[in-house]
Order: sequence, then C-alpha cells, then structure tokens
Amino acid sequence: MSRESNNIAVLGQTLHQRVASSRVLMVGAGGIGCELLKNLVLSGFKNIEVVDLDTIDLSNLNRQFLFQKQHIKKSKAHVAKESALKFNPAANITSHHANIKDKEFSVEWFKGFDLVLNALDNLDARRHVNMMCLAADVPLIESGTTGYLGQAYVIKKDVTECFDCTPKVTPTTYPVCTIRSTPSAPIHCIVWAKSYLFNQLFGNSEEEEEEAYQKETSDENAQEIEALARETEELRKIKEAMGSDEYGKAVFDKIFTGDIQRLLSMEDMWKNRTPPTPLYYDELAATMQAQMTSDVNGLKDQHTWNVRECFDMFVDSLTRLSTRLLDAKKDNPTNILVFDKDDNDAMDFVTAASNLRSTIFKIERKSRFDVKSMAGNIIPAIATTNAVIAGIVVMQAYKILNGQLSQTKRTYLKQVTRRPGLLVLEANSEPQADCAVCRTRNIGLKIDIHHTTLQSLLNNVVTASTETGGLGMSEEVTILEGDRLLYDIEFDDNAEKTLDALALEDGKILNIKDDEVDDDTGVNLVLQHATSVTLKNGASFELSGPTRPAIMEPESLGKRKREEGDEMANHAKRAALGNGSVPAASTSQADNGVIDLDDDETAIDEDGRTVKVWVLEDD
Amino acid sequence: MTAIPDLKAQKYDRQLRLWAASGQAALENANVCLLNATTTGTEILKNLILPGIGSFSIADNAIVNQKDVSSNFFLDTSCIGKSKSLATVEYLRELNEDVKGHHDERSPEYLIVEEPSFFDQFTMVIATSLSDTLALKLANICEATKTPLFLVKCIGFTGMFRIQAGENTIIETHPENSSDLRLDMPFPTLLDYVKEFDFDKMDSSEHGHVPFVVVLQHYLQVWKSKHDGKLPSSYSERNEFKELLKKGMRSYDEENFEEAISHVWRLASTSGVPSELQSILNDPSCENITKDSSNFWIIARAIRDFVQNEGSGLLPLPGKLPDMKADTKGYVRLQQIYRQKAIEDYEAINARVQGLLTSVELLSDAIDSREIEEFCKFASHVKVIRYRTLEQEYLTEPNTTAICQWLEESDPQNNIVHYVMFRAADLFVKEYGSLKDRDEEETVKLLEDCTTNVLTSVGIPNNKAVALTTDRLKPCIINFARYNGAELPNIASLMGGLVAQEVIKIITRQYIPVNNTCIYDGMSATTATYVL
Repeated sequence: MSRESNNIAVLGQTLHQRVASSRVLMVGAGGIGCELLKNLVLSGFKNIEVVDLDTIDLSNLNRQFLFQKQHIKKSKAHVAKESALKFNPAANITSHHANIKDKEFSVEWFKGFDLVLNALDNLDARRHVNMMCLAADVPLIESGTTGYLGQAYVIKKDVTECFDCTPKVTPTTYPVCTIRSTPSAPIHCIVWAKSYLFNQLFGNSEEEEEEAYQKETSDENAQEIEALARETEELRKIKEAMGSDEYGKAVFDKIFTGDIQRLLSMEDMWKNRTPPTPLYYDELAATMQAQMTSDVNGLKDQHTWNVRECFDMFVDSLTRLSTRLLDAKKDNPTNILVFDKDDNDAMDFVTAASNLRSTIFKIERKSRFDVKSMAGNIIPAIATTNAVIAGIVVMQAYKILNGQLSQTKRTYLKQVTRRPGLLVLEANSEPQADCAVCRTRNIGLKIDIHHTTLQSLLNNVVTASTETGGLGMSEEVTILEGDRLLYDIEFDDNAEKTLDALALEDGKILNIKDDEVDDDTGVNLVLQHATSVTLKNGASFELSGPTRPAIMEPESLGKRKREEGDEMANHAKRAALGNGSVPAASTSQADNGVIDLDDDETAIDEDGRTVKVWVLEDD
Repeated sequence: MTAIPDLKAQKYDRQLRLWAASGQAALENANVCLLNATTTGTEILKNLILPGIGSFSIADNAIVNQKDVSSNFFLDTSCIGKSKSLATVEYLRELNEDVKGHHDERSPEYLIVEEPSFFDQFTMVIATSLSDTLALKLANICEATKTPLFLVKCIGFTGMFRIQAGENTIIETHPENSSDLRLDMPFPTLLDYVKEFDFDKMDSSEHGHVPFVVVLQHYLQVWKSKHDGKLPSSYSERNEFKELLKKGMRSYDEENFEEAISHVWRLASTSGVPSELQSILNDPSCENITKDSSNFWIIARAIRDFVQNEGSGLLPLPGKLPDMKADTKGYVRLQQIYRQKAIEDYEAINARVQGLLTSVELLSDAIDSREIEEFCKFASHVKVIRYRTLEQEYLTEPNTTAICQWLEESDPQNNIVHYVMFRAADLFVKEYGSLKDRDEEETVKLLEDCTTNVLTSVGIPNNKAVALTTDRLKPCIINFARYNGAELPNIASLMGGLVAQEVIKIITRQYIPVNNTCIYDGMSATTATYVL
C-alpha cells in the first residue's frame, strides 16, 4: 500500500507490522498528547486509546494544534480523536473523557495494551499510571516538558527505575503563621489571598483551609493559632451580608484594617520585624480615582497596580465573584467557587487582595501576570518542545516494539549552553532496591468480594502459610488502599466488613506490609471478583504471580538486558551484510552518544564562568 | 472594570512566560518564507504559526499526490491534484487566525535563479529538501540582505539543519544565574551597611536574621584584619574561613550562617570581566563605533569604557539578590543597597551610550533605555555568534581539518557521517537522478562514488576518502540507499520541533541558538552540533 511505503522503507516490514498490530494507550491529550497522537497516526499505529479528563481552554491553543477556538470547553480526548481521524480515517482510535484513576481503568484493562504513553501534566496521575503499568507489567514511556526543556524515558518493571524510585519535589508549604500573621515575601501574600481568603469567601469555609500551608501548633504559636481561628469565625459572619451594598466595605474593614490592628497589638511579634500598617477603606476611597493605565507593551496585566488600583479592583472583583456565587447557590445551595488561574475574576481578586496585603506589610507588589504565575504554578509551554519530545517518544516506542527495550535511553532536550548538542542521553538506571512502588510484588487475587470479610482475607490469604497457598505473613500487618488505612494491629474496625462494603472492587490494589519484617516492601494484591464456582476446584480464592519474595540478584537484571533482541540494529546489519561487505557499525550505535549528566565537576559561577567545583568544594 | 488581559495575551500566556512581551512582539512582526512544502517544512511552520508568527509564505510548484497525503498531517485526500503550496497554506492558516499565510506556485528554483528580489520581504528564509546547488545560490542572496537562512534536510532516520545568520548578537541569553554579590570586592555603600551590625550585641533572634551577605562580609573583614588584608584564596584557606564562620554560629543550625558557609566557594572566582566577554569588548566592532553600528556594539563599547574608567575593572552590578534567610527589614535594605548601586552603574553607562550616539551624530536617545538596562543586567552573559556562510563551508574555506578529525574519531557514533551522506545523496541526485530509479546494489555502488567525491571536495586526500567510504561510511551508504530519500513523518515532526525552536531564538533574539549545524540520528536518538 503506497500510503505507508515511506514507513515500510525505513522501518522494515517486520517492525512496520508490529507497529500496525500493537495496541497503545495514550494518557493525556494536551501539549505532548496532540503531537503524539498525530505522530502515532502518521507512523502506522492503528489501535490507539486516549484518556483525558480535561476540557479545552483558550490558553491551550498556542500549542495543542488539534484544537481550535470552536472547541473551547469541549472534551480534549474526543476532539483530539476527531481531529486526528480526519487525517487518517483508517486508524482505530477510542477516546475516553475520564479520569485515568477511575475504576473502569483497572489493571486488567491496562494489561490489554502493548505500550502505555504518558502525556500528563501532574504528579498524581503520573504516579498512578506508573503503578498500574508496574502491576500490569506493561512498558510505559514517561514524558514531560517545561519551556524549552523536555525529557522522555521508558519505565519497565524489573528492568528500569520506576517513576517513584527517586523522590519527587513536592510543592513548597508555608507555616500557617507566616501566611496569616507575619508574611515577608510576595508569595506569602499570594498564598493568603488564594488559599485562605478566596476559600473563606467563595469556597467551602467550613472545610479546613487548604493544605498549602502547614498547621503546626507549638507552644509558642498556640495563642496565635487560636486568635486566627477567631478571625476566621468573624469573617464567616460578615459573609452573611454577601450581595449587599456594604459587603465590600465590611470585608475590607475586617481583613485590611481590623485584623491588622489586632496583629499590631501583639508587640512581641514586631520586635524584630517591620510592623504592618493597616489600610482604611474611607481613606483609600477618597484618594483620586485611578485610571487603569495601559502598559507600554499593551499588555496591561504586566504592569504593577498602585494601591488605589488594587483597591478598586478588590472591591469590583469581590462584587463580581459574589454575584457569581449567589447565582450558583440559587441552583444548588452547596455550590461553591474554586480558584482557577485561568478564571479572570479569580485572578483579579487574588492579585488585588495579595497586593493590598503586601502594601500593608511593606512587601513589593507584583503585576497580575506575575501573581498568576506564582498562584497558578504556571509552567511555560510551547509547541516546539512538545514536538521534539513526542518525536522521541515514538522512537522509544519503535525500540520497545522491536524488542530493544533495555537499550532505550533517558533522553533530555537541553539548552545550548556549555554542551554542544540539544539532546542529551543517559543510560536507564536499574530499579532502586528499596523502592516501595516497583519493588513491591504484585499478586493477582481472585476472590468473592461480596462474601469475603477483611478478617477472612487476613486469615485465609495473608497469614495462611505458603504451604497452604497463602502469603505466610505475620499477624502484624498494615493494609492500605492508596492512602486509605484499612487495617493494622491497632485498627480493626473494618475487620468484619466485606470487601465490597469497603469499596474494594475489581482492579483495586491492596498494599500489605508485614510490620515484623524490617523494611518490608510488602505485596500488592490486585483484586478481581470471582465466585467460588468459577475458581479452579471450587477454591475460595486464587493467587497468581510471585507469591514468595524473590531475592534480587543484580546479575539477573543485567543478564535479562543482554538477552533481549537487537532487531533494529540487526535490520541494518543484515542490510549491510546482504551486500557481502563490511560489518555494520550500527550494532554498537545504540550504546553510544551517552553523555553522563552527572556533571558535578563543573558549574557555572555567578559571572557565568565555568569553574571546577570539585577542586573548590567539599560539600 | 476589569484587568482581563486581551484574548491574545490569554492565548499566548504559557509562552509569554518564556520570552516575554518583547519576544512576542518580535515574533508577531516576523515574516517567514518556506521553500518546498515538505512534511518537515510544514511541521516547522506549524510550530511557528501556533505561537503567533506575523505571516508566512510557502513557495512550491508541486501538485499534491497520494504520497504527500500519507506523510503530511496537514493534507488530506481531497487535496490530491491541487497546488501543494495552496493546499498546505489553507490547512496551516486554520491553526491560528492571527497569522497571515500566502502561497506562491512558482518553483523555488525559479525564484532563486530568476527573481532573487523575492526574498527581500522576509525576516527569515527556511528551505527544506533544496539541492546544494540552489542552496548555495540562496545562501548568497540571503547573506547579501542579512536575512537569516535555515537549510533543512530529512531522510529516513536522519535529519540535519544548517543556520546561516550573519552576525548574531544576543543580550538576553537567559542565564540560569545572573546574580552577582561582589563578595570579593564589596562596594562602599555595602561595607557601610555591614558596619552597622554589631554581632556581639545582638540577641539570638537578631543574630539568626542577619542576611548571609552581611555575615560573609563581616567575617571577611575579620579575616582580612588577620591576613594582611588578603581574602581567603586557596582551598585550604577557604576551609579555614568556613571554620571561622562555624565558630560564629550561636546555635548549630543557624540558617543564615549555613547559607553564608554554602556561598564561601564563590570566593574562588574573582569579580571581573569573564574572558568570553573580554573578547567581545576587544572586538573591532566595539572599537570602531560608527553611525551604522548596531545597538549591541554601541552599548558594549559603553560597557568597555565604563570598565576601564569609573567601573575600576568591574562590570555594572546586575543588582539582583537571591532569596535568603533574613527579616523583611534587613532584606529590603540590602536589596535597596544593591539596587541603588546597580542604578548608579546603569546611569553611568547610559550617559556613555548617549555620548557615543552624539559622537556619531545620532540622537542621544536613539537606543531604548530598556535595552541598555537589559545589557547591564546580563553583561557577563551576552553572546556574539558570527555564522560562517555556506559559500565558506562548500567552496572557499571548508572546515577540512575538523571534518577529518570528527570522521576519524574513535567514537563510532559521530553524527558527522550523516553530513557526508546528505551531501553524497545530493550529488547522486544531481548526477544520476532519483535514488529510487535503480536497484539497491547499483544505488549503493553509485552512492559510494558520490561519497568519495564529497570527501575529496571538502579537502580530504583521495586515498583517505576511498578508505573512509569503504570502511567507516559503508553502513550509512547502505542505509541511505535503503531510505530511498523517504521522509519519515515522525522524524519530520521531531526535526520540525528542533528547527522551529532555533528559528524562534533567532527571531526573538533570546536564548543562544545553535552554531551552525545540528545533525539528528534516529537510530541512536542523538543530536550533535558542528561549526561547518
């Protein structure tokens, strides 16, 4: 078929066939996803499933080219599928507008794919897919970009490091008193406006304030914490006036005048700090009406507002958001507003409120553009980087389908700085011996979830000896489902509940750790419902997988790698040998081009000179 | 009332955070020309249209066939039989309504040979799959009009691009770290401030909130008083100095002292003009300022004069402080001191720029003050790239020694081999027509001859060229014969990303672009850059 003659000419008939018959799952249809779907469709992949829970936003259109203006607010997964099909109607694409963590996407479902491609934008979903692919033993290609930088690499159980083998940076949290009482940087005021104030006024104020700041109570701050709770309570009362003409002034007086005066009265607090200066509604309202000035570049959100501009914007955006909330509550009294960085009213409000607070604490004010960046944790994103990374993902996919998984390299797209070349490669690391995610044995468990209690699971499966077909663990075990504690030696409330009563259905994973064994990585039981009628010999349960702990031998890992085929290189080699001449150099190609990223011996000093750190530095 | 940024700012939000409004404005003013609507060319344009390039034109005289449709995402079967340039422009325009697209059904060859003035209108020319003969002619046209040119090729698992962009001066290189604390050479106002601190009389809270810069300066004065006024200069002296700091700590975990200790290594380098910048300041363009000098060179000259005079050997202070453990008051004060010094330096340089402008009879405010400010901020990181021309590479000054060296390197995976192959394939087409017309054996034989010819044409002696052809390059020759000149969609897309990224760097004059050739090898998934 001439339609694919280019692919066949370059890939060779064998690999081309494997590509055509493979089943791939793409998780995420955003920046990388759009590029990837296009490449998959053009590269001869025929069976593709796409999952994305998101809808299309205006700020996506600078790179997510499968979407256009008329698609805003529609499902990314569905629109991506439709757009891609226009170009290759022969492809079989299934789209799911859903969360990859939904129960329909069980381990069994993951097992139906030859390859999973992550094109995600958040840690939580990446972790989840990582775990599912390990449990299903399906190779995963992980990828990500920020600005001009990007990376792609393969994750495969027992062969490479998994996503959780190395700890990931978690978002910074701030002590509650820094946010509520003693801010000293713009970010403190922004977190206050976004996580505290916005939620109090428009969100679910009954709920505890967001996790963005820690609530550590110590003797020193106990009193202050108590006072803060009172403040919150007072604000709730003021909220009852929402919608009235006096509402804006009431809120302002409370948070920018009254609360600040209370803080000022705590003299000890300001001994080594610059004391705040309260703002007064009437005073500000009496100052000259400001004109919203337009920045030289015509980008008005890049200029920093003066106090009066902040004041006007605060009152105005408070009214806009209040009106929206009251309207929403007419439909359903439980409706709330959730902060969203692409919601203009919310951004106006957070910018104005945080800047007023900064003014009070003599902290530098920030432009709306900068506040958005800090409040929304915005990562710059452009088409070019995504295109490069998506291209690399498909190259990795070729290698995997060609039986060369162990030869794939972690690939980074870097800036041209000290090092020539844009792509930098690094050999895959082996799994971390103590990784709680990938060193955990995954065992399939078929059991009747309607008639099995947690206690009987413990007795018959977990603590039963291996001779009798159990796992042979001690009675001191901890059982978790995700972050949910189901059982430990001091918590047996769930013991008599059936598995389905605990919402432990098909595809759920129970993590069981033996507390008697030091550093036990435990086992994961992957649940599948089955009645005893359907089980072999009428047994009450059936385990499948490594029921005994294996001893990790580093050699065996290395051996596995060497044993894997090298068909892509062989393809070139055969072609070369077919001509009856010299052996091809390409057999060794895949092992080259590796540059060790551990570039500790050099660093750029503040003047941009490269200095040899190892001579100078010992820590 | 609302502060809603216009729709454009919202659409481009995620990229404005990368290259700012100034970069976006440059992009929106750019007019780019693509010669040959290949898959790679279309992918490049896609990546420029999405972020909002001003306008683009495609020149291609071909008619869409079935094969184009299967490898090019932006064409479908309804396009078969239509003009390729028209069909491609129509699809690409849909990607962004802010971007204007034009098509030209004349052949690239006609435009290059018969109507070179056609290229005058463009900010940038990108040519894909252009023969070397035409590329050389086009390169000369572009060099004469100072229009940056990208030459891109993509065959099988390999791709390469070559940039010819005359002299490229970059102020905003976006270095990872642009703060300069002047630890070894504190300026007077900083020292005055340090003297206000009486470390012995502080309570423990005050002591734990002294900014680390002040801690370092305080103890450096202590050190100097015991070491004939000298700073700790060797590794062991710096370790000794760290011990001095450790002794000054009131508790084992005073964060500001820990920060001070972690910055001690910076004393190993001295404030001054980095060598790369020094060679820029010594450049004849910096010496001979005329009314035709670019803003970059005029500001560079002002910086040079500043360094030699009031700067006392030092560059203007960037004035930016890193975050540090300190109370707001102390931090703000320190920030003011650094900023004030930076403003003074900037003003001195601004005055020098105005003087230079007047001396060559230009208006004293002919250069935007923001450009001078940026230069002062990033002075030690500015970059000048002078691209070699294609004529130098092919005809007048081939980089023989380097090419020879790269080819002979023990590293079997040197992507330079593909450079030779692209040129050999070009020669093949010129001499014998399409790679597809013969059986594989004959193609390999003829391609071998072409390879040897290319090697001798870059100045490699004949016997060596023959040896390289039959040994080192043989596997590549076989692969290239097998590829049949086919463009793989996935490689085209990847190359489209790499090329567009460099195009954006050159248009926005931000970040450091590749100099001058980048070669991608899909088998090993590596890129390598070469100055050819």
